[in-house]
Amino acid sequence: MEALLSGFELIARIDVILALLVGSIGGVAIGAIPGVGPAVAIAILLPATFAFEPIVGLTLLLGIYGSSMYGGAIPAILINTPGTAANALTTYDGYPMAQSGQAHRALSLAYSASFFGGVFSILCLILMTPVLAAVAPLFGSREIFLAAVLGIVLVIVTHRGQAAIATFLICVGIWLNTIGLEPIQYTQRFTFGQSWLSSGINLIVVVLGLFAISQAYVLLIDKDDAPEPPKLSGSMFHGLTELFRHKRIALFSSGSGVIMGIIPGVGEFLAQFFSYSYAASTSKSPEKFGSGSPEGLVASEAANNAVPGAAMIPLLALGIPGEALTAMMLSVFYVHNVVPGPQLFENQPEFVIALYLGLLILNILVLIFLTFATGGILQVIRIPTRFLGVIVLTLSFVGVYSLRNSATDCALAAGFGIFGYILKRLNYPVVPIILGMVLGGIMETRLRTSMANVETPLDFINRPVAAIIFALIVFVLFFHLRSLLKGWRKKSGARNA
Amino acid sequence: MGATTESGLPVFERRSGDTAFAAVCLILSLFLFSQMWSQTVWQPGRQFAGQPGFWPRLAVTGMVLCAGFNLYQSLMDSRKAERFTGVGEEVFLWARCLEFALWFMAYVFATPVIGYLAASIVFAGSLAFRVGYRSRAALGMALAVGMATVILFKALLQVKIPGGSVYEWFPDAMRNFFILYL
Repeated sequence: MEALLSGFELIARIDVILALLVGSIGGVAIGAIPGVGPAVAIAILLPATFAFEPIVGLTLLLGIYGSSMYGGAIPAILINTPGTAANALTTYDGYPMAQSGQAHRALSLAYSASFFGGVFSILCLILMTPVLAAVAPLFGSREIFLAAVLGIVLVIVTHRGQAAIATFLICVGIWLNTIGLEPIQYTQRFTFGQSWLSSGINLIVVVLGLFAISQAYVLLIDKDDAPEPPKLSGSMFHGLTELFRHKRIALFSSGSGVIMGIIPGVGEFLAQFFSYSYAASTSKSPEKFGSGSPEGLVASEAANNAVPGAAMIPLLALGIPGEALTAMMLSVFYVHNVVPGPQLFENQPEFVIALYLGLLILNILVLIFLTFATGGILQVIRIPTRFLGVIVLTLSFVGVYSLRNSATDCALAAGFGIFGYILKRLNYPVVPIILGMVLGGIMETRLRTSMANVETPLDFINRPVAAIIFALIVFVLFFHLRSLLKGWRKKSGARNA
Repeated sequence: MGATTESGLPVFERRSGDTAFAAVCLILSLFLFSQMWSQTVWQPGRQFAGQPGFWPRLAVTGMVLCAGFNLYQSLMDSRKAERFTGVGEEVFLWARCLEFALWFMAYVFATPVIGYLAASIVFAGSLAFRVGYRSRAALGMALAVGMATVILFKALLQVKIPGGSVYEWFPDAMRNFFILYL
């Protein structure tokens, strides 16, 4: 109770409220612009937030993260183009509903499902806090090392059909993180005698290059397009109550969003995919899925919006980010010497509670804002593609240059932008590089400290939590290899037949 | 929706240029592998986890193995004939990024000379012109974007961007204002 009151005190400040307002409304607008997305916005704003207190910076970034998927539903429903990748399945039923004159119903249903998913995940977080606070201290160096390994394994197995390139990119991330002067023995690693490489490659430079600058290139090179969304008229309230008719789907989807959000490397897409598949397979009218089913819309939106809250769990409890956006937020913690992990729950529970409350307020703010101002948000969808590219490149400069005023950083970011552009063109994932950089650093330090207390390899897993995580790693790898073998046998069987 | 698996998940499809990219990845990884012994240190008698060279060597070895396997998969892909068409166009498209990277670097080098405000306005306006926005309204919008960026980030959020060297020629009061806010 005391922590709850202290948490309230922490966010009941004008700068935090302003950050929440700017983050939530800005996030909706950014989510509504196809081709920008929260990763680009967070990457650009990241260095600017270093000047703020951690709670202000994090609520701003969380605001963008949590609200962008609300905004992403707008173009998905109105122009059949998802605003963010997490809204891809919303187009299946949202757009046909809009085509049949039910744009208002589809939008308000999407908002209410997103709100339900968001609030559900925050409630789960709040209810799990005592458990997390009790479990987190059981995580020592070797448990955190194994959790990071599990995260990497999960990132690899979830990139089905791309496991080789995903592993390659994770290794690139780990390698990038090792460049420079190593902090224990002070030896140089892969600096090739270049003094500018001694200080290493900054994570934010790589993030800005791979997410923001590469996206600017995509927008500048792609065909110029200025979508024209349909005009909206009428009230948004009607669809908000319709969600109660689909509470089973909303509950399952939010639950799956929470579970997928907690698991590192899984994220929104799989959450909405499983929820959508469940909704279609249990519906009384499965034939409507893909041609305007409200259940499909609810499944997709409730699932994707339940992920941001849940994704904070591994970050706050263990200091392990599960995907790119939480990896970026980790740097805000580091800059302010706030170390997320077991100690955070023990020493600063009010900080954790304040973040949860911030997320809750954010969802309420966004729902109110969208109920009254969706018409205004439609204007941002009209911004032509290449003009967006100009804006993103102009903003990317602030992000990189304000870090250290270094032209070298800018050149590196521009180079990573080209690399990111090629990866995007080839349909390869970008996120494994960032996770490799972040988790690589965690693995290196945690392995070094834990090996001091380990004599035989079995000692490494002689504590219950370490043994459970190790078993999970073996379990995930076993099932992944088994499914690969099955697929390979099927393929060769079909070839022989 | 593109091709999907039996369970409905989207299937990854290799595109034109995939093999060329996979080959470049392997060549670069092999180069790093060849430099591994000279660019990292392995101290005798120390446990592997405490070795400065352990993680970079592990990462580079992983890069070589995965890049090799990815190239093999790319070459063995059943749709390879389809993927080898249009490789030149794809590589040309990648090279087009270089132009915008140069634009970006010009912006970087111009800022400490002419100042953040002027550099942003010139950059946004001229890049908008370059990518096809020639109307007064569009160019005006681009200039406004440049100016708004400076006001938001430097004047309001106070991000650390140094003043331009031309500001030295300004009168005292004006110079301080420009250095602090623009």
